[in-house]
Amino acid sequence: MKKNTEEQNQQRLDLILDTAMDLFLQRDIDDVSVMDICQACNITKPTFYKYIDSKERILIHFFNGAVDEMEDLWENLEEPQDHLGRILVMVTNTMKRAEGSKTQLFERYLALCLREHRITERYTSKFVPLIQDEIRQAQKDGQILNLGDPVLVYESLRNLGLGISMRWITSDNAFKLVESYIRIACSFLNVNPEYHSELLARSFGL
Amino acid sequence: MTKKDLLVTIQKTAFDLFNEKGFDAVTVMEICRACDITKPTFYKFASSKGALLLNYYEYLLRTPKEGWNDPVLHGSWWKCVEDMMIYAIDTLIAYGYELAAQLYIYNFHEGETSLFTFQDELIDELARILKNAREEGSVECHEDYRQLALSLIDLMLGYVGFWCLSSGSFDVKERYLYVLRQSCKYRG
Repeated sequence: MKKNTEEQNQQRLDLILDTAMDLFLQRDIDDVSVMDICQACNITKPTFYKYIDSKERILIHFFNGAVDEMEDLWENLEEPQDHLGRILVMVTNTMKRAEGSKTQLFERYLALCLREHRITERYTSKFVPLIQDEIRQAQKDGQILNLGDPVLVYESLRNLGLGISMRWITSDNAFKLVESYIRIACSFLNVNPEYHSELLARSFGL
Repeated sequence: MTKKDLLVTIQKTAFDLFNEKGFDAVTVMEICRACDITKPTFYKFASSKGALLLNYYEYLLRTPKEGWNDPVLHGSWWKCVEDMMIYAIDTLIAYGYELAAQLYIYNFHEGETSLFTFQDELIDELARILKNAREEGSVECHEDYRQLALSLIDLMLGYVGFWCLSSGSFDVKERYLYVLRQSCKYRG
């Protein structure tokens, strides 16, 4: 048998992921079987399992996709001096993805991470030191008045995001996740009342 | 044994079994045998293993009878805030990261008996204490005290959540305490 090239493999994996996510968004994830996904992609079950070892694992791929997105986001961020805006755009990326999909899917994803004690890529990506740098700059330029250790300020923003996301899941989508997060994060960062962030206004309507 | 004592006994026994064997490995039947009760009795007290875990946490949170609103006992109003949050975080850490993770997972499904919403009394109490802490001058936190209390709890649950994800690999209490002070603009 001819061996698939890396590119073909990647294409097939992408097809499986995209198709599965479409199905998960249309129906309850519990009502979508691996067989359903295979039929929709026109592949066999053994082929499916060559690429992915479970239905839930698809969610890991989907939410980790937020990391790839961050690359583009970072490249295209305007306002290089708007450190506050840059920080908040970057740290809300996964939450935005969660809010744009379905509470149930984000719930399953987080439950899987908790069960497996998995630190996903977004927590170890190369953007972490970049965001910490933005925090340092925002402190220096007087955009934020929380002058704590930037590493720990970043950590608290990240963990606040995790906490609020979990509350959001538990409340079954009873409040606006990103909007609430931004409000609380601004209060924690102690944003200088005289500073106006163009990116915040543009990205979140605030 | 009163009904309440029996419930606490079941919770405590189940908790010890979970710790010993892992949450998934323990069956309801095993818990019943260890407590010398029948299955129907078990279900009179708890709807599932997860509910047991959560109720036990609620019980532990309510246990300190002297309360948190005593600045003489704790040293200052701000120390009341710190002691209350440290108690809440210690209680979760005592679960261990495996069981604490189970607690979160169970919680996702149980909106009405949730880790995030059940502490209404505690949230109100924390808000009142924060107000006093600001008035005594230890912190310059903003003045929507209830909102602040809620976000400090979210922050705490986020810290413990990340601690679970990382298999308990850092000193969650020490970090949280630092960030708690930063977030409230502690002046000490």
